[in-house]
Amino acid sequence: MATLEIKSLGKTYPGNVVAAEGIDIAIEDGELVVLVGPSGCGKSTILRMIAGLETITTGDLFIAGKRVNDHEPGERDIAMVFQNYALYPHMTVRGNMAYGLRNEGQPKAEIERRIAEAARTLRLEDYLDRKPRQLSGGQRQRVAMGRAIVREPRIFLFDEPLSNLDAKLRTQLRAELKALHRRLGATFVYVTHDQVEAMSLADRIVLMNAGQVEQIGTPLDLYLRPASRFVADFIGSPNMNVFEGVLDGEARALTLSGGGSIRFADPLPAAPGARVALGIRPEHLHPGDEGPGRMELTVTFIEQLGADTVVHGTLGNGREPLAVRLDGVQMREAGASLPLICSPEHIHLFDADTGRRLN
Amino acid sequence: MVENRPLLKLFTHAVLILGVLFLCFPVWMSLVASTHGPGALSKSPIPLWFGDQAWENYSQLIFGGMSEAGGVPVGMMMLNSLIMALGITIGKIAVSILAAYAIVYFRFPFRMGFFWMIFVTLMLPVEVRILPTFDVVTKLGLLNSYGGLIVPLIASATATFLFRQFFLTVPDELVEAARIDRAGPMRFFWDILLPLSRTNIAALFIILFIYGWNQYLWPLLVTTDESLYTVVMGIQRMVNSGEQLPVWHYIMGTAMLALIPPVIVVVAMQNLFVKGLVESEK
Ligand SMILES: Nc1ncnc2c1ncn2[C@@H]1O[C@H](COP(=O)(O)OP(=O)(O)O)[C@@H](O)[C@H]1O
Ligand SMILES: [Mg+2]
Repeated sequence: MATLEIKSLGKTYPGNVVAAEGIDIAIEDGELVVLVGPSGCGKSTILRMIAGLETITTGDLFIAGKRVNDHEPGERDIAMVFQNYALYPHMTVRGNMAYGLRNEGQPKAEIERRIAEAARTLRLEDYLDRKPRQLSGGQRQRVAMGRAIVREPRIFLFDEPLSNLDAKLRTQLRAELKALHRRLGATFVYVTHDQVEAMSLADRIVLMNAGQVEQIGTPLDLYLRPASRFVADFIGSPNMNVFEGVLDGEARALTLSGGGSIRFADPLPAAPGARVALGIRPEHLHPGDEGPGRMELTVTFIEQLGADTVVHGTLGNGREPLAVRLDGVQMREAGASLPLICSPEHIHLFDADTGRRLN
Repeated sequence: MVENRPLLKLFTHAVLILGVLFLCFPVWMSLVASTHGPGALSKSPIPLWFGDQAWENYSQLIFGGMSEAGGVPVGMMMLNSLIMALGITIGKIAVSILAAYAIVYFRFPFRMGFFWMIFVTLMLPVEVRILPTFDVVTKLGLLNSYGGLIVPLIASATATFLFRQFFLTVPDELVEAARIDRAGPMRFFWDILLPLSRTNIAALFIILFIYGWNQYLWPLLVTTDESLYTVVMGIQRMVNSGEQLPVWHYIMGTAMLALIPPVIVVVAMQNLFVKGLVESEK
């Protein structure tokens, strides 16, 4: 159990590839923090620097208040779970879990005790004498978690541990992981490219883009008040509708670059005449004629998901794509027009050039 | 291919059986000849079935001195060959696996330079460098010793290259998991890399053992002492034993004996090798 402090951390790979730059994250004791972002944005690089598998180019790393930049991975009191499991293929499940402990010089009885306990937690008791190749993907990943648990580290690191599993198993293991975190009370740092995984697991999310942190916050922070257009776009499914345009002199109407305009009852919190991007989540649009933020959707196709229906179309008769999420099963003909309203608190306003949030 | 044409089947089997007979016939001839007396092979027709001299011939070969081969029992030569072949095999595997380990897993100055230097020695087999090597061995005082027989043949670019290629296929995450599990370089090598290389080692063992066992030119050069003669040299000496007629029954017996260790190695290692191929572990 420990805090983890990352101070203006940066990594430049040979060949001047800047994978991460100016990363500041303070992770509290027992917190579950998820690093999320598109592939190639530097998540693994940061995790590997925390683990000590990659040298740190700039900045400092503190575990439990101690600077560990130059410590070997084995000396950092961390354990890591890899995407492809990285189990030792020639050792049994028991051997895999025991290996690190034997290297630490733990007594035999203690090793046995910890393996028994981890096996019980992860329901691996029947598989202890099997080799990794005799296990399914989900079981292998549990063994990898077991190998981490028995070390009783202060910080657990996960690099996309569920990405190689099928969707159903992923959901199941996600729940197990969350339960495990609650049981152990240890600090978890979890890397994924999947926003759903991030939203459902995290105490706090660190959303990354091109080697930099876009926003740090609770899942709801990121959903309700995305700090940038990038965050708004990344979090939530279906994607947020974003329209670019120019505000009029009163900041009440937005003339869209794709044609058409949207009018609002109250002025938007931006400079009149500014170029902005306006975002509305599909689930925050409702059918209706009367109200602020009125707009009209021309249906092109619908997605029936059972619990809800996503209607895709264009804004007015223009070219701006627009999607809306309706409750339950709903029918709409292509070409039909659907009047929508959106309440002001669900409107996100971003600077069209920098992508920063304005409201 | 699942085809069921009886005639074709018959034909392919006939071809295969013919091939096997063709290959085995000389072995059969040697085996038969080694059980006859001295004259049997120089007379016509050559015998195709066992004679009654097997016991005498083989006990003379193994325990008695063979005047035609310098008065050393074949048993002794077999032992020399075995020591040389095992020395070369184990030495080659040990040296090349360590060299490959260094080249793949450690960053040191001129790493690739060393790799290419090792690689270039592929062009320098013993036969090419035989004079300078002989000179070096002489100056080291290794003439007429097992060291002289073994050491110059130990370096192996082929095996180094093979291990290097294998190590490159070991996933990086495995190395990283081991680092997190506090395994230093030595532990990683012993506990993880070596067990994973098992099947490669078995395959190399077969090839290198036979290479070592069949060495002729080099042992001929560095040994003058009869007690260090190898069995391959022994056969050659018996064939060229000067004025007398070649003692064919002994020569064939020696050849049969010389076959045994390589066959044992192939059979024993093949099991491990095939098992390794079946249970792919990465
Ligand atoms: N060993 C390396 N050498 C050079 N560039 C690398 C190396 N590892 C990663 N990169 C680059 O650094 C960037 C971030 O990679 P990574 O941290 O693996 O991204 P993520 O895990 O978010 O997908 C990528 O552009 C990648 O190409
Ligand atoms: Mg990654």
